[in-house]
Amino acid sequence: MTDGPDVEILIPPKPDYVALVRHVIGATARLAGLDPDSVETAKLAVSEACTNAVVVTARAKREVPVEVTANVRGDRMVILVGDRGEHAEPAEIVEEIEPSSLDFSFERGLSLPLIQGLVDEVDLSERDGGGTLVTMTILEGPPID
Amino acid sequence: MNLDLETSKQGDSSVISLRGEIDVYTAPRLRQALIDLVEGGAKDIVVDMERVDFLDSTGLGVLVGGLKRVKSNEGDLKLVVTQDRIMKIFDITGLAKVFPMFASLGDALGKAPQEA
Repeated sequence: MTDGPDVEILIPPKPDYVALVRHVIGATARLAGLDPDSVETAKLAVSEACTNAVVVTARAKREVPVEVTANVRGDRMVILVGDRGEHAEPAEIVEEIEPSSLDFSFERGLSLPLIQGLVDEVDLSERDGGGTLVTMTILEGPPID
Repeated sequence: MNLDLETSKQGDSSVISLRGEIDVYTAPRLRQALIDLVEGGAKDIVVDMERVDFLDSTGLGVLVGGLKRVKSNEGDLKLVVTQDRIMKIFDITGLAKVFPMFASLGDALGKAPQEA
């Protein structure tokens, strides 16, 4: 992999801009030489985090941009997604879904479990001044347990 | 960066064929197509995702909503998933066990393989 400078993107908190971030991050991962699986992981993880950021910013009725930063150092890609939105209670993490269950109350909480299942490390922190910063790390090669 | 969506009738089944990306921007069109089919009385719905390049949890949520609706109509919602990277998303979220999944549209429609 090739170490590159940080890539920074600011987008309006609107659903149609999530694809833009996804494609820029995918291209960044490819340029840095990540393997195809890691490129797909980066695209999906950043889409999930950006979608959440857009939703909570809209909920707060703010027009503050969503901030995305990506960098590759050695064998790890780190993606940060920051918002100034209002988060509701964290979605309950679903360990396993009962196949025969018709209780679909989990359907709105799939994003965080998906991010956790995809990336090697994920951290959510409150930002000074309000909002949330999601930090996601993707390591090349088999995931570490 | 878009989603093409076509709905067709094949025998007793209603087929939604998708091509492109399903995310927070495009998923509402899929949701509307599913609602329209169920409200029109469709019981056997197949969503063909063979040519879907990207699917996120918003798309999953819409499919789960569609499954719930069609089941309340005593129907079923089948998925055609051929790509590993799409299947992986169903596996991680546990939804691979919730939907009937098929490797081809023909399998989902219950057709015997065509003789050469």
